[in-house]
Amino acid sequence: MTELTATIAPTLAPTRKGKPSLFATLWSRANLFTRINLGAFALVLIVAATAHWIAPFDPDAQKLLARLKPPMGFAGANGTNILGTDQLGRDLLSRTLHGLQLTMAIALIGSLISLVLGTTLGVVAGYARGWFGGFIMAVVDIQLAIPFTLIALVVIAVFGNSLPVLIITIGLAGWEVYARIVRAQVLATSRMPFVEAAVAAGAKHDRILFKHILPNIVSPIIVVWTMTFSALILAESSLSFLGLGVQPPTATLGSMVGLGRDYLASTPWIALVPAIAIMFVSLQVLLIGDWLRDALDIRLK
Amino acid sequence: MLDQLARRTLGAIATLGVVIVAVFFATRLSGNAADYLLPPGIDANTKALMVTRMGLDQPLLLQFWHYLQGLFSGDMGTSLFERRPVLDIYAERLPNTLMLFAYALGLAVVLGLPLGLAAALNRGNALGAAISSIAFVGYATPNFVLAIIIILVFSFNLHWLPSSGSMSPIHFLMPSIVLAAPMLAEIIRFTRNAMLDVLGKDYLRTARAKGLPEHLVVGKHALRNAAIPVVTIIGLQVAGMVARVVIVESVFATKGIGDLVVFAAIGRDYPVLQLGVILIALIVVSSSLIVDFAYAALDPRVKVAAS
Repeated sequence: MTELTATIAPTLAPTRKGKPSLFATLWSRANLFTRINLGAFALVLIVAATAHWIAPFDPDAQKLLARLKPPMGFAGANGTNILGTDQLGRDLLSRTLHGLQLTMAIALIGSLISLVLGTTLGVVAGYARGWFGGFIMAVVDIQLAIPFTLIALVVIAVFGNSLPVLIITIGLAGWEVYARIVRAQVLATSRMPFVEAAVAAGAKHDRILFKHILPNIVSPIIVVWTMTFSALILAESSLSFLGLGVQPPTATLGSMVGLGRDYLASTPWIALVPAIAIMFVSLQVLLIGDWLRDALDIRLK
Repeated sequence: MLDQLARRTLGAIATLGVVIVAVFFATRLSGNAADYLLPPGIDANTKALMVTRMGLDQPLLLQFWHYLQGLFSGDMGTSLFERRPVLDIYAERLPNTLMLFAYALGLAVVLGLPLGLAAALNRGNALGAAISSIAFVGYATPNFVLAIIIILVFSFNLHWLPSSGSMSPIHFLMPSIVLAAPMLAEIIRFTRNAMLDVLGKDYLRTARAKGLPEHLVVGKHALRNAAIPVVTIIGLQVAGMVARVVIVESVFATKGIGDLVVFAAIGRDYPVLQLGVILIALIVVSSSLIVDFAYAALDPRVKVAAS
């Protein structure tokens, strides 16, 4: 949650002087379950951000004598590797923490790319309209019609698999959702009396956009952001799982599951530890997204 | 109405056209496929011969022209790895994927409708809450995680089902379950919401007031009206299912088109990748078109929404 407020605070600040912050208002209305969930998600973000310091071992360090050790509490576990080790004797807890960090970083940067791209194009399509706006919406329709996995496969086949390609691919995954919703919101807001009044008073386009229209469409953008974030985590994990993500030995949660599946029969924890981490994080983000949508009372068409 | 459907059809054709053009130029962007395919240190003569045989030395636009000609005459080129016509490979693989689709769709509908109905009729009690939370978890679990969990349970612990392959119908059971899970969750959620929506309507009160037995009230009046949004979501889920089949097939080593496309992407087997992308786009676009028509047929009031 800390990350989320940090991103939106600058946009909100000028319009909400003297009022309690949006997050404080939402927090006061949240029920216990949501608060626990928000707290847990904040913890996940902190853990991901500080993985370099809190991971007990180097995630890529191999200890061949301590290979395939099960997590603590299972027969044959050693005392030092809390979540066990993988086939090369690498500490699973450290790898999961670093994988979580990379997964979150990719999803975060990717979601910011799609947010900026989609919002800009949505504003252009909704405010300037004209042939260019029509063109943007045609591209949106086409991308909505094609499964993202296909686009990702083609992009990765063409540019190879590396971290920048992965991030840009993830960034391309969600922009059309922003563009569609932002355009609809801009169209609706442009017809509001206060915008018409501003136009009549002779306000310039930049003032109308940044002062009157954008502040009014921040809430739907935040909701789309949270709702697409879990989809991006899953998209990244799926691509990495298929071996189309980052190159080894660097690992994200998805690629750890992908590599661990070869050892599923004998040492299932190698795949299960990161798999549970993905499931936990994606469930959290989904719940937060649902809660935000209801709390901000946004109906997304 | 007809106007709308015609526009949708045109849009679908345009989308396919864009896919066909984009996929050709995208796969040619990455430079010469020969550099990637042939072993390093190969002598220049052999290399030139291979390049000519693959048609990779012709101008781009000429290659594109041949590609279009091939597309409409059913000759989609030869796999760079398997050295046999791409169309043959897909003809061999497609039945497996379609079988998987059919099983998954059947599973999701047969289980999803009654469960959604039960969740709506039991709103507020433990059963309703249990169904809704299972649906939510099913929706949030990535399919490869679910795949790994059920492989662990049913193959390695219980030894009931084979973990991979596509030799017999039993091999399709686990991939179908994984493919069906998110769709099942969506169908439960939508059926529940649609039923709750309908259950509050006046005509249901009228039906009850005139003494109609409860099973007719629910079965005849409520369910029929709730079916319309559910049909839409089933159609929309086909697109998601096509995207997921890529991962599901690759986990379970099902010899279908999803698995094929992933290997083509990793190995840069352009002809295979091209046809795979076009084929999948065709499935997605035509299924959403079918939903539009079905929607119009189901509900005469519907003006196909511009959403």
